[in-house]
This record gives sequence, structure tokens and C-alpha cells, in this order.
Amino acid sequence: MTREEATLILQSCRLGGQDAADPQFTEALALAKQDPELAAWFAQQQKFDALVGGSLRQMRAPARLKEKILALEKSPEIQIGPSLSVWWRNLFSWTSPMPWTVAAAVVVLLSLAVYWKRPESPARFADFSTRMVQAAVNDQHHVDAEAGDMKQAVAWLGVHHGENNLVLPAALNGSGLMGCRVLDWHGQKVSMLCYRLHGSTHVDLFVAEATMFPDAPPLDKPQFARSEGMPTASWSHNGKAYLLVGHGDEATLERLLLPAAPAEILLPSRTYAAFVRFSGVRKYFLE
Amino acid sequence: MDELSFENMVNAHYESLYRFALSLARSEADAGDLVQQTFYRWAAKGSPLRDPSKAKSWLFTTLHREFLGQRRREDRFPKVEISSLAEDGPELAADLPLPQNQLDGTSVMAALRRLDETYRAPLTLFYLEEHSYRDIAEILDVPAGTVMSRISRGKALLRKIILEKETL
Repeated sequence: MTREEATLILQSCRLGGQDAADPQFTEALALAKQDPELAAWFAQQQKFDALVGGSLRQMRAPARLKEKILALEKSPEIQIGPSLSVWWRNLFSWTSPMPWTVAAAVVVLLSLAVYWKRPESPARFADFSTRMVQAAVNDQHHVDAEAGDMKQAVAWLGVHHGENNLVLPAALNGSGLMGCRVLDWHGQKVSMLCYRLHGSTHVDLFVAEATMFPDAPPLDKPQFARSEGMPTASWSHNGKAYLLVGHGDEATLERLLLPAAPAEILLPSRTYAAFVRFSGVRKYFLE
Repeated sequence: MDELSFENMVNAHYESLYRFALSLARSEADAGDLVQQTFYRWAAKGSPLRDPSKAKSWLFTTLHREFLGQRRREDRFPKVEISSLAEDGPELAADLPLPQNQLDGTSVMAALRRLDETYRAPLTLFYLEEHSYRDIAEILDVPAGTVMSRISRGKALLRKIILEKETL
């Protein structure tokens, strides 16, 4: 372990020796014992931690909060669960709803098992679109990583096994890029790029292997639709399927994808230039 | 005595949960709501866990998810840095300045709330001293290495905020 690694690890070490047994800290603490400079630094860190932690723990919750919380238990909306010692008795009592619930659960599980045994149907682009829109709208983590420029995002996607050989429309060439993410779809990695354009227009672009889909979207021609109530545009290019999800109206996506002027696009790895035809508009790509 | 009874769980954890909530939320009222909602879920699920240590993590995880759910409706762009924050190690200087004035809970909380949430959540949990970095990783649903680097970077930022305030 290097001194730099030790400094990073020791910063997560709590006061009072609670973490001393953790192997991560054992090694770092041993290094600190041998290195007077590291030991002095760690002592200062712990003084700071004691000041901050001690002050933070002085904060008191409002007195009425506890009363309100305890009153929850008596709320008619809440049934505190049955005690663990008696629940199984209900299982054998046909006057209880428990056996019927168990029977229903067994039927559902059997049905699911039969369903899962069926040969897997090929991934449909419409299903992909639905799932990606749900990810764009509902997922707890909207992006995995914040990225301010396309090179940074492409590098991150590459490291995380996402699609990163991208050919992007001019409006999505990196300006307004907020972050990126890699998702799984039928065992394949899907890249997502999140943009906030012109300060307020929020769009998310998903990129997957087009060969996954028997019904991949049309080549180089955006197809506008709605999925889960959100406007989408999809197209294919160079074996990749692209799905753009807008958090506004359809007109926004049309404006983004049907621009009037060529624009420069940054792409990873190689440095050759190519003209690509896309909906009758010429765009300039650097790859 | 049942350690996992509703009342015992409230007594044992509501203060810490409130401190964590206060560091995340915009106001004391919002923090109180987050804590109430967390215990509501605990009560509604009928004390789903039997291990008290797991129950504590469950409460903190639930509170954090409640907060994320609320924030998601307000802001679609959580800030997560793209690179590992561990790239820049902390400055190794034994004479790291310490605050000269007495700190109190309110000023520390105010300083914490000036930090980006990326650092604020793990740092608050760290300073509550009830969770190891591995527990924090579980609560926040991020890798343990990321927690370490966020605590490290967060401490440096927090120190800067506190010291800057002293010089004003």
C-alpha cells in the first residue's frame, strides 16, 4: 500500500477504533505507525473529524417529531405486521386469508415458471423503447457519471463496456451534455447520453446494437413516435440503433434532428472524416 | 424486550435519521417529513427485519431513497462525477488548519448543506459515526471505493467552507 492509498483509506476511518479490525484500515494504520509524517497528518484529520462529528451529533430533532412518529403506530392506515411466532399458525387455518394468499401465490409462480420456460422471443425495438423511456423517467439514478464533454463520456462508456462508437446528430455533438450511463437490455449493454440543451431542453439518447432487433428503426431516417407518453425519435446507423427520448414535445426532437446546417461531431479513437447523409441533411463527422 | 419494536426503533434511531435527513433536505420541516415517511414505511411493512444492525441500515437506506425520489421529481440531473475522485489524493500536510472558533451543530450542518449532495450524504453518514464505509456504500448504493473517495474529497471541501466562514 502506498502512502497516497493510505491517506485515502484513513479518511474513512471512524474515531474510537470502530474500524480497526477492518483489513482495509489495518494495513493503512500499520503504515501510519511507521511513517511519522503520515501519522501526524492522520492525527490532524482525526482532530477535525472529532470537531465536526461532535458538533453534528449535538443537533437535536424537534421534540414533537418523536410524538408524531410514535403516533404512526396507532394510525388506522397501518397494521403493524403479525408477530413472527404466530404467523405460521394462520397458514393452516382456513378461516384466515393466509392459505388463500399462499395458494394464489403458488398459482402465480407456476404461471410465471411456465411463461419463462417458453422460448425467448426476440427483443422488439418497441419494448426497448418502452424500457428506455421508463429508465429516462423513473430510474433512481438518471446518470451514472457526469460528463461535460463528449470525449470524456465516450471514454467512460468504453471503460464500462457501453457502446462508444457513436455517430451523432449535430445537435447532440456534446454541447449541453450532462452525463452518461450504461444499461442492460436482454444481456446487451446500452449507452445513454443525457443532455440539457439550450439551458432547458432535456433529452436522453440511447444507443444499442441494431442487430438485437428484428424491427430495428429505419436507416438514417428518424422515425418520430411516442412511448409511455414521451416523444421519441429512432433511427439506425452503422449497425447501431439510436433512440432519442425528449422530456418536452415532439417539435423539440424534430428541431434537434432536422437542423439546417452541417456541424462538427467528435468521435473517439480514429481521426478520419466522413460525410454522412442523414434525412437529406449533410453532417460532418470526425471519427 | 423486543429491540425491533416500533417504539424501540424510533427511540434508537430517530435522532440520527433526522440529522441525516436535515443534511439532505431543504428545511427542518422537509427533514421531519423524511423521517416520518421512513418510519411509516417501517411500520407499514410490519418490521420486516430481525437483525437490529440490518434494521438500522434499512432505515437509512429507505430515508435516502425517499429523498432521492423527492429530488428526482425536482431535478433530473444528479451530479455524479465521471472520474474516480480518488485520482487526487488528499494533501499530506501535518499542519492542516483546524477551525479556531467553537463549532456548533448548526454551523456544521450549514457547511454540510453547502456541499454537493454527492459528498454531503456519505460525509454526514460518516460523521454520525454509526456506519462503516461499507454500510454507507450499501445505504447510498454506490461502490465502497467511491464512498472512500467521496468522503476524502468531501472532507477537504467541508474544511475549506468552514475555514472560509471563519475568515469572513
